[in-house]
Amino acid sequence: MLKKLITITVLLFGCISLCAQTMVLSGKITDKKDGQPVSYASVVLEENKLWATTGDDGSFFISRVPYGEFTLTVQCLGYVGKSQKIIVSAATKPFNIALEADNLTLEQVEVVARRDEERANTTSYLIDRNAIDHRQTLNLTDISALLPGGKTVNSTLIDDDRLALRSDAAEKGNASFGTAIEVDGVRLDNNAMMDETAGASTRNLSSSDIESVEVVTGIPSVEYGDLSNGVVKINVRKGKSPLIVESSVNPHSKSISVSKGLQAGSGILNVSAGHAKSLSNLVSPHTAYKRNTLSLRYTNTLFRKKSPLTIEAGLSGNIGGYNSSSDPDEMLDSYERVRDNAIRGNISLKWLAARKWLTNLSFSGSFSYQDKLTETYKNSSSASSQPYIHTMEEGYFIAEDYESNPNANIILGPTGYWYVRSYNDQKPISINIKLKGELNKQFGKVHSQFSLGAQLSSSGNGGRGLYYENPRLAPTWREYRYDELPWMNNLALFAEEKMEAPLWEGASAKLTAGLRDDITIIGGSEYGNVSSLSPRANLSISFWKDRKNSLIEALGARAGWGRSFKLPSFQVLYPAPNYSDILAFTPGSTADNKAYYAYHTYPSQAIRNPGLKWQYTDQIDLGLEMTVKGGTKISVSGFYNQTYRPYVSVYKYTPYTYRYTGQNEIEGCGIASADRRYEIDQATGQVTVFDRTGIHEPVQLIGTTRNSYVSNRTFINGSKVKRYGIEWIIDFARIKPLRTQIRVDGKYYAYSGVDQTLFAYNYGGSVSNGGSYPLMAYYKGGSSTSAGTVATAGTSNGTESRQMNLNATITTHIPKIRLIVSMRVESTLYWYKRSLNRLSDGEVRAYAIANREDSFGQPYSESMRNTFVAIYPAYYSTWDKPDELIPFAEKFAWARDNDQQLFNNLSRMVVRTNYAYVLNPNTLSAWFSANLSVTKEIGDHVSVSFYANNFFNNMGRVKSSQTGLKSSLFGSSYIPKFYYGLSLKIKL
Amino acid sequence: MKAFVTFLKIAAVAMAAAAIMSSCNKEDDSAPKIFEFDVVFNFPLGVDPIAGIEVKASQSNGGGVYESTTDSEGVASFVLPAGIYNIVASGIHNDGESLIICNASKSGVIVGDKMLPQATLPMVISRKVYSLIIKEVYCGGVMKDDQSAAFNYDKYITIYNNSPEDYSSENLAVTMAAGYNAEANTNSKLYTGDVYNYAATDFMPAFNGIWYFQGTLTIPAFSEIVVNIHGAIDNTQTVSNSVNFANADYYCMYDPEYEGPGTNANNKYYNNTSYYPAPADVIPTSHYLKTVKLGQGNAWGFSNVSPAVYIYETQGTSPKASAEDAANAWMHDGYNTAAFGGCKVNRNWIVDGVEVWNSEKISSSWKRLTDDIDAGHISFTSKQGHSVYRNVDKEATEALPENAGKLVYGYGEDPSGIDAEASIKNGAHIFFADTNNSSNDFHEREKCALRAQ
Repeated sequence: MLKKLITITVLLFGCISLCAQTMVLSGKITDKKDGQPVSYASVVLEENKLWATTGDDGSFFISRVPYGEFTLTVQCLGYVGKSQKIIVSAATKPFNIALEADNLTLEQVEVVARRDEERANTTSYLIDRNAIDHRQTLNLTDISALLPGGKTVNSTLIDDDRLALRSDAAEKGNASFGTAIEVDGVRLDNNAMMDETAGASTRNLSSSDIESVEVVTGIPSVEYGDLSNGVVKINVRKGKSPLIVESSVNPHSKSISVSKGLQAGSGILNVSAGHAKSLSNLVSPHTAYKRNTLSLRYTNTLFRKKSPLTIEAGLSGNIGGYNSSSDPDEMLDSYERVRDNAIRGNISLKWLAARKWLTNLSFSGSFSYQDKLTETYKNSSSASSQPYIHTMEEGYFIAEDYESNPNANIILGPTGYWYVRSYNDQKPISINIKLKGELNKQFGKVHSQFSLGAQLSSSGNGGRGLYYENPRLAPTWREYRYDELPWMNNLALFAEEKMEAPLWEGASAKLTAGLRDDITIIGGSEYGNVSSLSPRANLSISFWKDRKNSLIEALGARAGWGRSFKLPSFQVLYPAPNYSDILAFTPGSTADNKAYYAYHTYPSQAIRNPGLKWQYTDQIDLGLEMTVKGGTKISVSGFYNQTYRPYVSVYKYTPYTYRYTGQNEIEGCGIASADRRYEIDQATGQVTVFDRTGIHEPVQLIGTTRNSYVSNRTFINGSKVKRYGIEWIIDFARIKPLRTQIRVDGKYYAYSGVDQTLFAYNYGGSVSNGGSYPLMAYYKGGSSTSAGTVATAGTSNGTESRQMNLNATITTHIPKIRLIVSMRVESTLYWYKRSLNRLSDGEVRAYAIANREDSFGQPYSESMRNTFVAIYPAYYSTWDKPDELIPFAEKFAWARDNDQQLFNNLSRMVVRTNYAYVLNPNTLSAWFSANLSVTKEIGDHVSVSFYANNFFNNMGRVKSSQTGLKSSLFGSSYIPKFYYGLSLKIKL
Repeated sequence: MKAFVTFLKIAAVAMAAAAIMSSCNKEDDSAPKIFEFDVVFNFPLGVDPIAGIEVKASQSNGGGVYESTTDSEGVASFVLPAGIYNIVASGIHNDGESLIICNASKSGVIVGDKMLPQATLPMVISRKVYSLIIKEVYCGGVMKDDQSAAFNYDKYITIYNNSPEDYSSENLAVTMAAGYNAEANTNSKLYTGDVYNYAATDFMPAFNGIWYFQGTLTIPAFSEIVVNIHGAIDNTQTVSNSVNFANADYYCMYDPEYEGPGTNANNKYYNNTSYYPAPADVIPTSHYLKTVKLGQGNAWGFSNVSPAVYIYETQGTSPKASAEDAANAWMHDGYNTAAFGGCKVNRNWIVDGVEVWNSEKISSSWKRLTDDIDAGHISFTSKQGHSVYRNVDKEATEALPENAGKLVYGYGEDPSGIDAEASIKNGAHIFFADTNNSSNDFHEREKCALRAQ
């Protein structure tokens, strides 16, 4: 693969035309209002990516600019970006460009997400600071409400919701885990968290630090890997800025932040600090999540006049987390504290080489370290001495008094009252290095931009795992140190070509094609090295622009296809070892309530599945952009995504035998209770009773042999998940007399996830024979929607859903009084969901039964309604022949008439629906809610925003076609509760 | 007699009318009208109407309570102000062969203009001889010594032989009805409208698991056994107000061997050592009740606040075989996961049952035992060391000649005034009330009987 990449590179570089006349393009950027120079503005020629940064006097210089027509784009913090066409020739004079300050005196202000049609030729949306302020976003996750068809959520830091693009809750395929989030180029890597397979938490990011957010829901550049559901890129504030103090408050939360961009030598240092706090319960305002953030970012451009080199370095962090310690409602002094501390650093260098063989060279390096320690201090008590099992060996062990053997495999816990303090120490760490070269060339009228890069990323966890402060009080627990697990390293090589060419008069095409190879290296594990190839391509055509006399003034279309791989989480890679502890000896409790139990422990080391493949998604993305006469803009995007091999977990069962000895055997031993001492043979489980007085001979107890299974969790690849949909945005032409703009956006989204994995599931127990020969059931397809939740026998093996959301936003903006008011009505016009029992091989998974308790019926078909259903396992196996899978249905029917005991046992494996309507399709009647947001600037220094979510406090009801019943929207998950908030922003 | 009743009716109507007339003026025209109202009881085929059954009509808004008795045709006549009533009938008739226990109830009966002047209720009949009863249920625990929470690992019931004959059986079992707590919203799943889903069937669900006695259980006449449900140790060493179960006479539920529904060792067995510490070694293992575990979980989920417990004796089969028979498999309505498993118990096998309701949530509680088992409920306050305890059948107890001089009176918690525990210690034989209606048959004790000792 590497060879191929090198060959392509050499060919491309070798083909480059080296002949072109050049000049130094210069100019000055000023403030439109006062004519003052604007420093640290970036100036870019979009076609060939030559660029410059303005100096203190607002001047810029771009060397080696070839003659031709270019788009010059200027951007600067606090100003509205500007693009204009320029012609570079011998006669070109310095450009003077005036920028407008970004505030509400502008005619055009965006408080919604907009399609990023200029820069991206795939579906992506841009949300800028005005929209974030207007919505008073507290947690980054809340911005998904601004996407087409998005739903508003009430902002709080107590909920740790994760962002998931083009998906919905309770779906298979780990969509949030597949959604990548980058802050200023630093990936929020959640791979190394041990107890979840989910996207990164964004609670510890200060929203006041965000300048804009780009949400790529389509096919991302191959520069981005380790994702399967799109990427969210957060740009933080960089550049000179006044001192900004922001404060916001809502019923559960308050926040305050301060930021400033100041001159530091020849560079700019942006400093921001913030504090935010959310309460979990207004009635008891003690349990809270707190965020205290600080970020420092330094930017400087050296060699500004010739080959500029921009250096950016950032350091940001948070100290905070969840704390219930001061809640007087908590019993006694019990509490839980969850740290959410983080420090992230990054450095990036971007050099404009402007050489014939290299235009730009960029290097970036970043690290992230999080401290997610959970401390629990809990009131405990017990009337009986509890067995605290700490053994990590296989065999039989008997409880001992801590005082006589503190290191015993099983110690007897105390009786009485005490506190126990425990820690769950998680410290995810990630390191990332990226080098990318860019070559821009012109072949006739074709602009070419070729990128070649390499990226090395590593994830690890420096946490100690779960441990206890006092070993005397440590209950049943085994140490599993996360810091001893191998790191997951990934080396990625990527190459991408972006071409832009005119097609015919007024028409142009952009093509992006790239290939990424992720080589995952996990030393010291079964996984070894895994290579994953991700090809991606996007094509967009602008058919025409600015046809003022045509009904369609501008028309463009785009299409893309791409594959993206999501690396596994540590939860998937390194499932914790399982210790199966079964009571093997139950002597009666002594007069002081001590029972010297013995357990048989079967340690099952984590089953690391060497056959595990990385989950990936194939995406198709289509789009259409048009401007209708009068200025109405229509943007439509369609997608068809299939996630293959999603990570799922199942139990693996192993038959085993153990010996059980009860009190009944001791009764006749002749040794007085107070004089007994027990020993158990680690290998055989045979218990011997000794007489402490020495009067009686030791007595060996016989016990009974019992057969059972030990279970252990392992991660495998599940069946594919399908998602498709259409998203649209219609921005109607501004109604100038009313200073009002109407947007209608929405989405139609469909999902289908049906699992067909064959997995074992112990229905538990075996009747009549005392568990001597328990059976094991094998079902096809589980209903779990989370990788961390083990598949169990359920009444469906998947769901399909469809929904159509339509939002209308009316924004009235009066620049003269610097006021912007928006009302957004969010509606769901169609909502459908159905649980499924589908197997692609035509096998029958479910049977329609006349009565809920029946076992036999007709094969279930999806056209049936209001019928109870019995789900059969596909197979079962016996304890002594675990590998022999016996088809269930035939044997079950046979056993009914021929083997009552077998029938009783097999009956327990049949899972039945709890109501006749369970498998009916469910369509809900339409519903809506309305939100109001107001932002008012008072002069140039003060801005106030207010919002009210669901301000009609909709008390309507929706009807379910599944049950025929109506349920209230009040307090439901369909719409947010009535909620409000106020924010104040001061610029000094 | 009839003429007398008619006279009374007329007099009552006249007095009520006079009262209304006298109080009627322009400022007060809202005084309720008075109506004659008959409650007609339909007795099952083969049972003649029984006179003298007490019938209460209580206004559902908490207003007045009116009492009457059935006549020889099974009709109870009332004179009632307009309103909505709950009608409850309860009584015992001795036909010489057995006690005929009558119970009936109906809520939402409207008395008023344009309404029928009568309501018809089916009378639920059961024939009983005094036999085994649940004498006491202690389930709510007591506050721990550090006052951090309630201690609930000390539950028990007492089974009492309420007859002058010894009781002996090989097939006695203890279980509970679904759901776990009377006030749980999920109990609505067990109902269709106001009708309990199993009212018209011949079985009663046994929830989560059943417990049966090993071998032959013999309880002498007027004697009892204590059956520990959770925590068969001396709990008083840690929780001073709890119960000491380290007693060789006691029975206990303990069977960590039985493998039931579940996915691993932590939920397939009743092996939670907090709920099930190994029983005190003074309790003989023959006193361990064995289980058939029918639901997922590591302890039998006997309610801390409001259980519906019953005892039954299988006929022609053993409790174990019956519970394990696939034909008797049962799952809590509205659920399909192993945690809600149970089995059907033939209603005719049920010997006694008690419906306990949480005193703080009476209005939101659901009946789980059918009227033939328990037509009422007994209110209970948890965490205070309280228990629910049978009332003494004063008339029958005092009628026993051997009780002369042995009965201890002055006990205010029992309506009879007889202190059963003290009297038993005195050597008295107690007949406890057994009308299959815990509203009448039980009272709440401030201190459970085992602690009182």
